[in-house]
Amino acid sequence: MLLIDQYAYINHLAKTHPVEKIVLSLFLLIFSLTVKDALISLITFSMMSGLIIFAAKIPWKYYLKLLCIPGLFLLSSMVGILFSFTQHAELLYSSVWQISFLNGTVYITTQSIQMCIQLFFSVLNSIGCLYFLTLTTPVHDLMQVLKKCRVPQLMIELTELTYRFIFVFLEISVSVFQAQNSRLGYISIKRGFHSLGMLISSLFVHVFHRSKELSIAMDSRGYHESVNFLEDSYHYSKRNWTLISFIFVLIIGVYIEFGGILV
Amino acid sequence: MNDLYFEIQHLTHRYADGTVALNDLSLTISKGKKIALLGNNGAGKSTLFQHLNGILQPSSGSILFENRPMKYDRKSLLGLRSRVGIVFQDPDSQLFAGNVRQDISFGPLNLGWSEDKVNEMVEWAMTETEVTPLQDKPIHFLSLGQKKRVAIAGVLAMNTDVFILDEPSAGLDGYYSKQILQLLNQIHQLDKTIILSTHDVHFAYEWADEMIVMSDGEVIYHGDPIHIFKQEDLLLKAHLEKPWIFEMAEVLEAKNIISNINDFPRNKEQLITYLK
Repeated sequence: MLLIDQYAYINHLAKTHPVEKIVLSLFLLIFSLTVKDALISLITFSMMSGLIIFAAKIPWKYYLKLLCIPGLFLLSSMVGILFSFTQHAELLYSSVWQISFLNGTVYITTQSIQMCIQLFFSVLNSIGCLYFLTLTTPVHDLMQVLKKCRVPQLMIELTELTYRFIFVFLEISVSVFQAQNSRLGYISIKRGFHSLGMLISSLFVHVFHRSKELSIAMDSRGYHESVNFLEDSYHYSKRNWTLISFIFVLIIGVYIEFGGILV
Repeated sequence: MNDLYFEIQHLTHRYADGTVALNDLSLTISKGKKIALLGNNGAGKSTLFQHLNGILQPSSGSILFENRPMKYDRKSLLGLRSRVGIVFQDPDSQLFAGNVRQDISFGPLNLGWSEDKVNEMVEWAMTETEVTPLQDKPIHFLSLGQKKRVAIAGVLAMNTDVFILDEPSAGLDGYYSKQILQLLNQIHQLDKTIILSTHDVHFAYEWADEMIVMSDGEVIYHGDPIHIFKQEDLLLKAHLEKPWIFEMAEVLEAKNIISNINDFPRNKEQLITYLK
């Protein structure tokens, strides 16, 4: 139903122990965000992308499309940070570039350039790390790890139910939309708006109905205190841990040797 | 008196909008029976099932479970539900866990069994309903028929004394309906009772040893699954048709090949022996 969710289950790293994937991606994420080094960010991003495409075997075209989504946000916010605007051009002292028109001035400062570069690289490596996690790890595996980390049970149950209900929502909206469409509900813009309104209101009714039914069904299966499931059994792999430690050592080494070489 | 699971006395259920779903209904459910519940749409079958699981409370009347009046506090309900399992008609409203195996394990873990026992029961339920190959799939990857089987497995794994199924064969193809029939025959033991509602008279006639027919919130027939089909007025009222095996048997009866109504063939194999 959702491709990004589907890949989490069918990629070639889906059977790898979730803790290994989480440790790898979170360590790299936190390390590169702390040292704020362009080179490290680039290496992290390429390594994560490499793992996504070659190890998890996610089609590169799809990965590229996914990158475009945060890419757009990144670009628009970089434009906002890069350019500043003032009506008192005489107070400007550190601008690298400026242009005046009417009674205002648009300018760029060295600070804003630096900030942009920093933003660009931080976002780049964060995207890489988080996409690695989302594309290779099913949601309920993440929940299992969170449970082991003693995250409050209530939070985990809420997340799990929310996750399930995203798909209930989607399924209902798709089927209602198809039913409307097959009776020409979207034949004109006016009818379209009317149908859309009905779709949204019926979605609410449906979802409330579903959640009520679900709570009845859970009760009748003896739900009390907490939601428990059998956990999927994964095995730690020595090879993976060696690889992960090697990557850690490598990246720290690179930072000590070559840190600050770019920008 | 010890062989009863449920004793329903003058049960009436009125919904908030005033609809009377069950009207002064009295019924007993014995131990060790295979019971089919038939009736037209809106006859009150699902409402009755919800009462048997303590989901609804009677507007008036009472229900006894093993000779004790049902109580609706949390603890009593948990006790009841560990003995009485129900599979709902719409599997989507029942399934919620991340993947198939986890969903099936939900009920058994609530019963407080050891992990080994839970594992064993989950494996067994998955094998019986043929969902083992699906066990790692998330629920939203499944088709309706697959969800239906997972829903059945989820309650099956709890191994309850009373097993209620609301239209188990709806939405399943012929092959899986047959599998479910076989499965229900297999899990049926001396002191267990299976109750299912269905619109499939052929299925009910073949499988059940007791039949309950409802119409407009009332029980209009409760007895063996053969005599009901002799009562044309009841069949008309409950929108039932005769199973074709029964109709064939009537022809044989007219030709004096079968003399006693209790010898009526119940399935194709039995019918064929008469034709030889």
